[in-house]
Amino acid sequence: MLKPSSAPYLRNAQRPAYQSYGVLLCLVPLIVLAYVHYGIRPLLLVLSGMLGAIFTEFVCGLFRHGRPKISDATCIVTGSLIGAMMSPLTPFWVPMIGSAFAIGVAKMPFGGTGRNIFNPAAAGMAFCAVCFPTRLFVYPDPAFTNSLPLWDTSAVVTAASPTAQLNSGGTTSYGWVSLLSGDFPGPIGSIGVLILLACAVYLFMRHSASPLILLPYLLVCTIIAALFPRAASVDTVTSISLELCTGLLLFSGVFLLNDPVTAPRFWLARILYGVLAAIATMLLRHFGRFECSEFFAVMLVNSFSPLLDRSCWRLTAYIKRKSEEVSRT
Amino acid sequence: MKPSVQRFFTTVWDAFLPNNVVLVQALGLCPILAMGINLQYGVTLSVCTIVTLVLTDLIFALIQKYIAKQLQAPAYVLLASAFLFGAAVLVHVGISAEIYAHLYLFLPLMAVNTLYVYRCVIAPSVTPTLLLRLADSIGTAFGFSLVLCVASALREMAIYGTLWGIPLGYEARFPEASHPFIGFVLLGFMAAALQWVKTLSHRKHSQEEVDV
Repeated sequence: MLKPSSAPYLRNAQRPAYQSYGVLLCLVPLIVLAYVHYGIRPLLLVLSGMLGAIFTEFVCGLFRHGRPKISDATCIVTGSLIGAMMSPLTPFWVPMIGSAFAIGVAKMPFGGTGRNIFNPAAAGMAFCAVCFPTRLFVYPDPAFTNSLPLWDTSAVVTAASPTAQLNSGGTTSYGWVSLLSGDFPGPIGSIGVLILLACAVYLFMRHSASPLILLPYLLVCTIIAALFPRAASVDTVTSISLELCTGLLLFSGVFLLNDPVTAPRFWLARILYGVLAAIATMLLRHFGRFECSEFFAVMLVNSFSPLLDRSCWRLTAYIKRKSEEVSRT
Repeated sequence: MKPSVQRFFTTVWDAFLPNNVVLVQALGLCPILAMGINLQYGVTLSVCTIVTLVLTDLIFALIQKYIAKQLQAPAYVLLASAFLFGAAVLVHVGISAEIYAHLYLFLPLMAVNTLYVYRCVIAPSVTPTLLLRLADSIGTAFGFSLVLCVASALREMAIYGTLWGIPLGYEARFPEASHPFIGFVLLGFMAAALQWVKTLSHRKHSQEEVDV
């Protein structure tokens, strides 16, 4: 007998909490790496994002039906993802506001967990990027930083991130070793490239992420980076490594694009979704206003997700029907 | 009260809030998103809209039958432009040159706003008589103005901490509220609030009918 249930439509025995704890587990090593580089501040930023999200979910839950539901941990994931996409120098109130926007505007008004059109974490980051760009894209120089002060960060030596250097068209001094060890300026969650790849494999194994989204996404980003390097003085291999390893490209590919609520369900739609996300990401990197604009790309392709699902399903059904007709004749 | 008068006021009320042109029909959003950041701009734009929309609608309703159907939309926009031009001159000379300098692009732009085009194309079919058409245009214009003024006041309080330029005595500021997307979010919440009130009212009426 078929049982009616609400979204997100996950595999058997998988509940939103199962997905959420998997993502939270993945974020732990990323935060530990950030702790090694910058001290306790990144951890507190992630915690403040979580706090903002939990508080807003609680208030919205009370307002909507008087029964706040935090046990599925989806709001905690949203808050921690927002915290992990911040610069280590961001004031603590920014992830709180971003999380409050994500839950209060991008998630709860659409009906709560499983019913949001846009990824809440991407929406929260987009809000912060538009409203507080000067607080978001200033990164400490890891070469001169051991442990960041908690409150007054005005004396911290800052450096342009590799993405910003590529944007300005100049050369960049970050090689493979720096990129793989996280020794470059960037958002908290983006400096652990190898950890992000390990997280992707772990989430694939849990069926919380789909290689059909991530692999086409990375492949198309690689092709665009090879064909159209942002800086003329950078060779093809350096261009690819910098584009893939820096900024939030890998982070958004692993965590934001694979959101089970906003990603398509059908296999072909997932591949096209990854390709579209990659094109949007690289276009925004080339022509966008902000140095990290992956969350805008995620929101853009989120809006195409139902259309992709529907049209790809119809297309494959049509091809199957036609091939059956041909084989019969 | 006479049935015709009652129908007039019902039409005004219906166009004013339950079928608000901005919150329900999502028309006329541009001026609110772009210029609804200050109550003074909001009130100026509202007064201009009320005067021009009602006058344009009234005159157009009188001359509409003499104009070929294909030419009705351009004629309506032309008429609205003429009134808006007059309103713009009035704002510039009579009210404040500074406010005119801020609004000047948006006053003539109003003539091609979907709000006006909607009034020209759709309104005649839903409001057959002249009196009802007048009622509908009054309700529409005041409904648009209500949303514009509320959004402007809220955004002014958030951006500058003032209302009509008068300081409200708190330090918190949110200058980013001047971004159009914040206007979108605000309008979304206002539309949701209206739907909520309508649902409550509908439930109350249903309950009363059941009781009766």
